[in-house]
Amino acid sequence: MKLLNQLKKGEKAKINKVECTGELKKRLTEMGVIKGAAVEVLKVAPLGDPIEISVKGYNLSVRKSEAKKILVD
Amino acid sequence: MSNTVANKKTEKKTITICLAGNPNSGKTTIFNALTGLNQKVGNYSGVTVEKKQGGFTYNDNKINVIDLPGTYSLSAYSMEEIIARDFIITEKPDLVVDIVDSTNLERSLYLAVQLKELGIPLIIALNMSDMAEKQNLKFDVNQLETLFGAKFVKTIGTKKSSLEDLKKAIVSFSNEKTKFNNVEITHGDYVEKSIDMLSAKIKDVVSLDKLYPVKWLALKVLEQDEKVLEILDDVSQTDKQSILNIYNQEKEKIAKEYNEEPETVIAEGRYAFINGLLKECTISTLETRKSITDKIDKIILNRVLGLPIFLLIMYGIFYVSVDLASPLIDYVDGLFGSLGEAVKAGMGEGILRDLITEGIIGGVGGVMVFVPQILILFLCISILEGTGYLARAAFVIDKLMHKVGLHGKSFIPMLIGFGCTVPAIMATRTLENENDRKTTMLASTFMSCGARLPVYVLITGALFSARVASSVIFAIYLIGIAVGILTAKLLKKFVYKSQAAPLVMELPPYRVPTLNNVIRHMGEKAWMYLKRAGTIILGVAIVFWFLTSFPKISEKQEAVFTNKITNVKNTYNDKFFSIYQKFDTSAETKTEKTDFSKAVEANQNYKSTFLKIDKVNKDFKNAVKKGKLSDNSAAYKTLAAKRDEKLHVIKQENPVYYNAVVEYLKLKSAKKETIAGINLEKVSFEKRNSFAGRIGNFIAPVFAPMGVDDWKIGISLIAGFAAKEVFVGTLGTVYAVGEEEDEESVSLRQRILKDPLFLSRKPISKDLVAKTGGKYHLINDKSKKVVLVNGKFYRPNLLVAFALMIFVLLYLPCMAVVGVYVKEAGWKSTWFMLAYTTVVAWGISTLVYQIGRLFT
Repeated sequence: MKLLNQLKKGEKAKINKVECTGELKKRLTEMGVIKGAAVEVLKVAPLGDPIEISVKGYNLSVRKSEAKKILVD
Repeated sequence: MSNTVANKKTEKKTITICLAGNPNSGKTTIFNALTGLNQKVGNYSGVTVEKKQGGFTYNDNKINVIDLPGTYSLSAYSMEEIIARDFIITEKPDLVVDIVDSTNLERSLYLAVQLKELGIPLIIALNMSDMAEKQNLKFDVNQLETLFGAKFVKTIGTKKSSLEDLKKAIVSFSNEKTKFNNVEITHGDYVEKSIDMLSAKIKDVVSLDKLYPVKWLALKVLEQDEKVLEILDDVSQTDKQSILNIYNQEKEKIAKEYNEEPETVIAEGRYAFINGLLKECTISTLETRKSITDKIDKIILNRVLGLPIFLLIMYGIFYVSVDLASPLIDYVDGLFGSLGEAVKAGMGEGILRDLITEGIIGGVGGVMVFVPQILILFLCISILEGTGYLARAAFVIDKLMHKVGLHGKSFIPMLIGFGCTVPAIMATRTLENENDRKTTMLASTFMSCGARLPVYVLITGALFSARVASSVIFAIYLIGIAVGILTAKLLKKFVYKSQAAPLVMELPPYRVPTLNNVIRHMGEKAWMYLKRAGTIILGVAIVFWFLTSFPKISEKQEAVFTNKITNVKNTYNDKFFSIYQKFDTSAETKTEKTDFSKAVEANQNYKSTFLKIDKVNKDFKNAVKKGKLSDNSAAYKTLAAKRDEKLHVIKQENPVYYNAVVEYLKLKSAKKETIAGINLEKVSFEKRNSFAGRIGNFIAPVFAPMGVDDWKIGISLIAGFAAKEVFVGTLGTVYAVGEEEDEESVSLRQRILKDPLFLSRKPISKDLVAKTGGKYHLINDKSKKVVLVNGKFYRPNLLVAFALMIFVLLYLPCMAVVGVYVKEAGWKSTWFMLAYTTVVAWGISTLVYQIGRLFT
């Protein structure tokens, strides 16, 4: 098991658990970042943070500190 | 079937619909296409979320359309979501049209599921269906309708003709309604059981089931939705407790089964439902989506090129919305200036005239000058938003902005703040999170706007050496940025600490924005500004005009100035007469003192000499003006020598008349200067006597700790609230050098330089001083200024000047900003902003002055 922020560019994985609460959890959930969803890391921003991921067939940007809360297989 | 047709012919319905949908789903395009020019833009009451309404008729049916804010969900986390949800629940529209992006159905339908949970009639517009087809995405619409329980219509927002189907569906929906009513979305056995348990209890509590659908309330209690829990506060304590008891039991059960909070299980259930639905209804899929977007992003979000491209685009925005807008601003400014002059010329003198020309026309002009900038800025923003770059810009710069407690999208408002704070505050609307928005607003007031620059130029120009002036100004800008950043950090730490706003932001596919949307967006912003902020600004401007114009000075004082002028006139008349006597010896007997001008006029010798001298002087002046020559240039000196030569010839011809004319001209200009001086003294006196002046006078001691205890500065700071650059003009008035003085003015700079306020505490030794070109300076550094006052040499007090400039940078933004701030952030935040900027400005200026004093 890994954390989403540890994935390299181009790496694909499946979300196992989203370990956070409150607004972040809600926001991730409604954007489709939920258990079982397939993700791929597409890009890292020029300054090294945030990252761009593909989930549910569209592109989403999350900060690394947020990606840290997402466990992937 | 025949029945339906008959119904259509007879029934003329009025239908109210709401448009819902994700951001970037093309909702705005559809709203514009449906309603055309029949639109109204306002705000939802009490909040800054935009509310757009419109309408159209179809087959004689009248349809009202309300555009709900674009959201991804209907949870209670953001203002937009709460508003959308409350509107549907309380206003009970006939149906909701959910606009979904067909190329992104899986996520888009999440909102649709939540709308369905609310139990309202629902049409789902499969928008951008052409793009989906291009990507080989085909859907079985009948199957979707059967399984989801809503009407599905394919649309292409950019093609008006494709909206016929949607309009038809809206009008005929009531005939089909029953078909969809019995389909309910289920959330899995465990959750459904929990919902049933909660529903049973909620049904018993009479006051609840009236307004809200029971099943929805049960679902929301299970989700621990904050707003719904607040609703529970209205029912009796025992009822609330028993509902919560059931929740706790059910939570345990769900946790045992799924090892998750009910909230998460419900969300996963929704997605599971969508997944199943799409598996059943998608005819073919091929993963070609967004290939163009990926290609563009490869360059635009490139690790090496990403930042330069970002900076280039940001520079472009700043350039067009600040530099290109400035001639337009000057034009609007000039337009109202000349309108004021025209009205002034056409009306009799009096308070009413002053109110109209200075108060109202001046105030309206003060509102209108911002319109060009707002139009251009929002042209840029809506293009960025429409193409999809806005989110990418935030993506590129978020790391830096997040470090200082802001959001990637805060960058544009902060940048625009260097041009003008008014559009900067408005640009914060692109931020979705309320806390981020308010933090950005407050921080952007510290970005030194263009109107503050003249103040720095004047003060540094007067007191600092030319060599360091630009560095000093640059330092002021940096201090502004630092205070802005510190402010954002403090707010995050102490005010909004509980909620760290996540980024989690969609990077939508690149699209070509439609001209229609861009133009409308621009127009809407300008109109909103005029309608809402404009009225406040105008009101403040009129109050401000009153404060600076009243009370008028007493008749007694008026008479003092009039007498002074009369005395000057009489004195000079005597002097003129004695000149006349010199060349007309018979004068004393022939003409009265008061009436010798005709006799002078009749004297041919005098007249011809006068005209000759006048011509030489005028020619010289014109030549200097034409060549734009400075006083110490070689060309100027040559011209001056030639002029003197010509004058000498005239003198030789007729020395008596020549001397008389020269003496007369000298006296005449001295007289003019003296009278102008008295008039300026009067204006300065009036300013000091006005309410604003009295307030300035009164508050001056407050500035003592920062080294600026002076009524002139006090008044100018108060006047600077009208617009920061007014500080300079007011300073010109109170120093009695004239209102037309600008920051480049030599005489105003001289007055400031010689003002005891800006002199070093102790004089410096004469040995350190040298003189070049009539100006004193330090002997070892020509650029360092030295002033001679009352026979003693002083250095300018740069510390006081610096503290004052910091104060001007940080204190209250101008009244136009206040007007916009009220509308964007509400009164409470505005009062906070006013207090905060004042305290910070005073505190930092005082700190700088007091610490600086230890070293000087």
